[in-house]
Amino acid sequence: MINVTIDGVRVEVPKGATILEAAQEAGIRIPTLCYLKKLSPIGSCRMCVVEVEGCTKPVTACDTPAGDGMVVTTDSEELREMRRDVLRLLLVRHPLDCPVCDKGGECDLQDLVYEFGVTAESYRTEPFERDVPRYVSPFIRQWPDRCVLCGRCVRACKEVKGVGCIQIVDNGFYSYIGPVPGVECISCGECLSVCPVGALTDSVHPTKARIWQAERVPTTCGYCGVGCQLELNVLNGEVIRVTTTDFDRAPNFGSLCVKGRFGWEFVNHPDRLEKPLVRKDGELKEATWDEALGLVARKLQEIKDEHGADAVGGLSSARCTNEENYLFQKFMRAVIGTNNVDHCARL
Amino acid sequence: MADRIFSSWGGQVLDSRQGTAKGADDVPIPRSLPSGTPLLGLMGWDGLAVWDGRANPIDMARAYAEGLVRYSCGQCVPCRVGSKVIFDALSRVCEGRGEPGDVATVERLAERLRNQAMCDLGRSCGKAFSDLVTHFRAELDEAIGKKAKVPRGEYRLKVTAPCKSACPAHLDIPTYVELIKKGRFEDSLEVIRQDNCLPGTVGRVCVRPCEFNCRRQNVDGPVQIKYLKRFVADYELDRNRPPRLPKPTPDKEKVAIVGAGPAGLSCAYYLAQLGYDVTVFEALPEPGGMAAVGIPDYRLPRWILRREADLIADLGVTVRYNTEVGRDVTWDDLVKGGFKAVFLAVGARLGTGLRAPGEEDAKEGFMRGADFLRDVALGKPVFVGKRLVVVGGGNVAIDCVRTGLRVGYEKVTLVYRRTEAEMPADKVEIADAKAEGIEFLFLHNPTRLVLDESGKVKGVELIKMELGEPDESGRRRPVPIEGSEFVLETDAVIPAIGQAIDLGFLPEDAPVKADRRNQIQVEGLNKLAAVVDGVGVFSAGDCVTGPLTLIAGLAGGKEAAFQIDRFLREERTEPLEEWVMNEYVAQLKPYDPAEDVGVPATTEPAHIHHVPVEERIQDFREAEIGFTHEEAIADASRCLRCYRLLLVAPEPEGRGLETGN
Amino acid sequence: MTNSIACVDKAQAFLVIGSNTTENHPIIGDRVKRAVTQRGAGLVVIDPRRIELAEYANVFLQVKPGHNIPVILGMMHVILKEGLHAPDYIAERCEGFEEFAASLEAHSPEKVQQITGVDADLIRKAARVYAGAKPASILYAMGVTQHTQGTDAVKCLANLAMLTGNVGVEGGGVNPLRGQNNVQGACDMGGLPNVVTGYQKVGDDEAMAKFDEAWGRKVPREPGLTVTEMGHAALEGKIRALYVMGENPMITDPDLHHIEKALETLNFLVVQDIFLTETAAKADVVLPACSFAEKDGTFTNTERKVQRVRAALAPRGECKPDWQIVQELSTKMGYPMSYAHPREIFEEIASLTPSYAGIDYDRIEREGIPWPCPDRDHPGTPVLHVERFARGKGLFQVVEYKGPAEEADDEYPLILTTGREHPHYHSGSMTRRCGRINDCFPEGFLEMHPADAERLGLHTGDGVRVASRRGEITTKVKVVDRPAPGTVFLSFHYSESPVNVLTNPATCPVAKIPEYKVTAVRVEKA
Repeated sequence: MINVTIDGVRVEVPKGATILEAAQEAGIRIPTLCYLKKLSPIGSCRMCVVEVEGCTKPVTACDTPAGDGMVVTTDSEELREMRRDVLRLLLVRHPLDCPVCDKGGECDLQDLVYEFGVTAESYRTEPFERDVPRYVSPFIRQWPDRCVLCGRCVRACKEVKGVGCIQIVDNGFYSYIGPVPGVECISCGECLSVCPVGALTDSVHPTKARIWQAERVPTTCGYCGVGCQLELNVLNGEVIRVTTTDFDRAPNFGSLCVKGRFGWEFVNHPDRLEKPLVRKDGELKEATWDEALGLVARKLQEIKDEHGADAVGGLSSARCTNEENYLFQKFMRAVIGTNNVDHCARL
Repeated sequence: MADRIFSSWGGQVLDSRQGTAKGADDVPIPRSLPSGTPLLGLMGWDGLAVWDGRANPIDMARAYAEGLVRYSCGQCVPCRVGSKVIFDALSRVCEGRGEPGDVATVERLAERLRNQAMCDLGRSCGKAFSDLVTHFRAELDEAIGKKAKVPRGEYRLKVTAPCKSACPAHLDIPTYVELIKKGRFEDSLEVIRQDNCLPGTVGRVCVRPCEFNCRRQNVDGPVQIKYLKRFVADYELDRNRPPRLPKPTPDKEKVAIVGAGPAGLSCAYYLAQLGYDVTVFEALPEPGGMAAVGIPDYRLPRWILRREADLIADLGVTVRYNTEVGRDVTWDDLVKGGFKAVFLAVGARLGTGLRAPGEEDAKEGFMRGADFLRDVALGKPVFVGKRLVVVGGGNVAIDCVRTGLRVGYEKVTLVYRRTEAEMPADKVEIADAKAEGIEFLFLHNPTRLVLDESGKVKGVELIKMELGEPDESGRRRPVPIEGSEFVLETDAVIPAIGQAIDLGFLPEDAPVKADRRNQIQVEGLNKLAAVVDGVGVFSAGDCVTGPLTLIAGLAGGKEAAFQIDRFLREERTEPLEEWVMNEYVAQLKPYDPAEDVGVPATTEPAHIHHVPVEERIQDFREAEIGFTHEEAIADASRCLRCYRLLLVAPEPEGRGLETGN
Repeated sequence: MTNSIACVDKAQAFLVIGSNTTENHPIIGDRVKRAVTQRGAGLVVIDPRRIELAEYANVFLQVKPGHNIPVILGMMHVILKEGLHAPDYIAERCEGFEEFAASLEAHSPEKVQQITGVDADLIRKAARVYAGAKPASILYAMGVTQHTQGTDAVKCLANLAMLTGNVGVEGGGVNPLRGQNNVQGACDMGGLPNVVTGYQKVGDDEAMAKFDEAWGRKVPREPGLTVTEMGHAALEGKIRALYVMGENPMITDPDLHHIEKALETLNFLVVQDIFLTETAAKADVVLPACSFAEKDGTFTNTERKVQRVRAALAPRGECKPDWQIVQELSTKMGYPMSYAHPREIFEEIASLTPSYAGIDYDRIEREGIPWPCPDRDHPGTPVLHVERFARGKGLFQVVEYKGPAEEADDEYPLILTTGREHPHYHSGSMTRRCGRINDCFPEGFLEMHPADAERLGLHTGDGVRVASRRGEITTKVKVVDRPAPGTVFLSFHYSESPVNVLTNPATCPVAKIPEYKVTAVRVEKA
């Protein structure tokens, strides 16, 4: 363990901890933009600059390991001005289109600009045109001008998903997030989930909703057996997108695959059954619940009476909940009286 | 501004307008290109200089900013956006559209670059802009006030870094190290392979001039560049990844290469990629030259070298092993056999003697270092006794003692005439040898071999030495202490004090010239030794320079390849412009060992692991174990990315230099 | 899984066999890739196809479908011969080792190479990578189990893990990856013919007495029929009525023509689903159910973690959650049920199931708990068999290789193996109805090696007829070197080319799992 003093607060942190982690331990917030806990820190946005006693230049807190006896200052007028300049420079390119941006209200840049009281007029460049190719995933829309090049998406794609299909393309001011030739995107949307601004937006559902209008219901994904935790975003009784905002939640820590993140449309699909159907004259016709359930009860009872309980079989479901599976086998065993119950565990 | 001289380079400001300079400054590069075109000024990491009134510092800064925009990696905000804001402001000024706030913007953002940019590209470029505003504020204000256009010059730009500049092959080290940090190991290896065809080999045995020029050592130890290179090379092998190399078609002229050592292989590698039909003649049964038979397997497993040579062969190169030029193939076969160019890369394969009485008469127990290592490497029998004395202080001497231990000598002593501090061998190698139980006898020198009547070595007479005045190499000259001679008993003595060049394959009338040390004479950077009936004979590597390093051999081979290409395409030779810029960079010394880098010393270089001594001295298994992924990524993260940008301003009508890396 | 998903981060080496992890369990696949590429963990991949993980493997053993067992036997032979096993662990925690060790004698890598064609040196290297790092994790899926010798293959993997001391160890284990969201839970809940909840056997009188009392009816003590057996029984007239809740056997079962006949023979078929699936279309009554977005409850994931599902939407139209439908039907049949909320059902489950006893909705509000969790203070069990095996000592079981039920011959010269593609799920009833996904991935392809394609004169995109002894389908071919020559692959997501028309209903005698992975087929240009 090493001792670090942050703004006069002494904390003990493990060797190898960064200055930012030490500050968090001390309960001191250092503004960040490119930093995300689950990704390796790169110190590229330069928002987290701090002063370290004995160092002639400011250092970035997120990717500099703390040293024993280090004395750190996280806030001064000079540091605030450096941070303001970072934001001013970002606003050279980033349009102030917050009113029409999907991320308005949930945007790290918006929050920081607000916090530091910065306007867009300080620095400017000559007008220029940029040609950015289509984004790697058809499920995601890219807004290159909104991009702050924090590289979170690039790191998430590489470090979390092990894919590495995006990178910073071109140099300097003309950089943008573009494809890595020869590496296929799997449309998992990891990049989308870590973007701090509205540079990547979900393009599946046409309905837009301000962050605070949609309700986010945490639940478990209904596809494979991993059991990813996700949030269904609901507006006016319809799912409009899936998000993951809690990166500390096992087992997926905010990651999903293409099915989990973009495969929710079937819930709203017009093919969904809405009424019970009963076969009449060889065709399935709509019926009331009473009619349908009455028929099922009668027929099952008849067959049970005539051929014995074991003439009835039941398939429960690897798709349904535990409670439903429990009730189904209870029904088969206690009500019908047979152990003929199975499901597709083997498929 | 006709004959103004200004310089802020080298820590002091010389300004003829202030009367503080009259002609001379501290910028240590020539004032003209090799072609004779005068240089009018320069801008770089340490400031700017103007030697001629025709160079306009405002326009130079504009071009310098344009370069920064081009080379900025796009990651950090101050450099990515700041460079463009600076460039646009300076462009406006130069075009007569300057605005009153532009100077303040440049000044402020230059400061941000210097203090807040992520890597040293932005940081080092900031000074030039700051110096411009500080020393040419009146000129800037005047240009803005009068809305006057500033004449546009032609400039040459070079991106470099201290490590890159120090490397003979100029590998793009910061880029490949950063790719390792990002976990992009194969991309990293692809970058390495642009300048180095033997990454796994060099990653094991390079003498790493890069690390001795790494700015991180001013903080807390250099980035472990050599081992990082080894790591990515090993990654490709461990994970069975297909090497990313082109599949060229050899549809151009035939070129012959003599020697499949580092220089020969490197030359073949580039020529094949350029489409030439390359045949390599190699006397040994396997590739690598001295790297194969001079470096023992415990440092460089032969299969690594063979695999890397195989990859070069896969480019379409024909390698004829066991083919000695002068014996199996004649000189005429080369120069009259349909080859349009011949590249001589025969190295320095001969061991040198002790230059002490007795060696001529020794029948058993006396071996020259290079011969001893070669015989062991080729599996030939060598004399093995109980005690061995090796004379020398370089890496070959260390290789001989450690090899001696492995072939069965029980007690091995290294005798060196100076102290450990002066030993040219790699410190790591010395430490490894000590760990293996080698005895070191410093400040001793052999005076004669002691033989028995049958000519067997019985011992070696040594004289004690002391250090006197420094010699031309800067090291203190060892001086014998009269009368201090004594005999050290031993069964074998191996001198490892140098290697010599074997030019026996050249017929007497060959137009290739060599000096008294048999070093082939070539035209400077051009590598051209002779033209025989239109066939260009080029040479590089140890046979030109004397015994140097593996990486220098690779660099020589590469440079020769580009000269051969130019010779065959344009029927002329001329150094590539980027080499000239490389020379300037080297002269400007991008690494300052005294610099305070300003970064807290809170990291440590990753340490390589070793196979335990008792296991490794049993045989020739590799002694070092490469980095783990986590070690490699952690060490790569220590890189400060010390890119630097250099701009020179040649006289406008002169032939320009190409830009390049 | 014996271990948790988080354990992947601790493994120093992996053996991935019969699992295309990155496509079928992407989140686990990501972690493996991360461990391998960022952390340098060792990786051995055994699969008939050059799957994505093979690209990162130290050793990739491309086996023919049905050849898992000999290759694992060969690896164990090497481990024993080279002393890479864990003698202390074996002595302390296992039994049956001597007989098992003797049985390995015959399986030298050279011998295995003769049987399988897999290079003996690669088998050696694979053994060294897996056994040379601790802890090492085995990840497997249906590529191991969907064989007539599936159970034997699993035993082999258990032997391998015990041999190297990797069971009951964090970061190790033998880890089956479950393919469906709640296949673990459906099994845990007794959706099986021989056990009720928590794998309490229907023949176990003591355990059943508890259910008899709680349910107020006597539970039959004889095991019932499995899905496949129900099909046969229907054709024989022994099963007259079938009640299907959320399953689509008309796409997912082997030998679909046979299933279709069985369903048509039934007197009465009830299907409860969210869509009019291929199976529902054959029903006498179809009951509209709620999707996962419209109901509360719990799923148990592949690492045995019980996690909450929450209703985000009101039921669509007149749909009802499945539990409510079952409850109403039960009531109508004279067995009243009146649960107000799934929470109450879960409380009943916990009261009857020792491994779920300590779990309740409040405890899993934020994060799930892996069973066994015997009481309210128990934190759950991320790693099984830590101190001791569930049965006391780990038992080495001798396994002999028999070979798959069907081999290629002149008439059916290629071996077809089946599986999934990452954008789609199972029978496709959900993902094929996700507009954007289906637009991007609208059709399946038969993957075929260029050598086979050249011989058959086929090019990517050509329509082909694929026939087996049981039927034929049409699809398009994709020429790619993922499968080895002689092997072709097709996913089962697409009802346009229902691959299970072709597959072999021969099952593993123990687990009753059909041999989906090995079907002899003939491919012709359509």
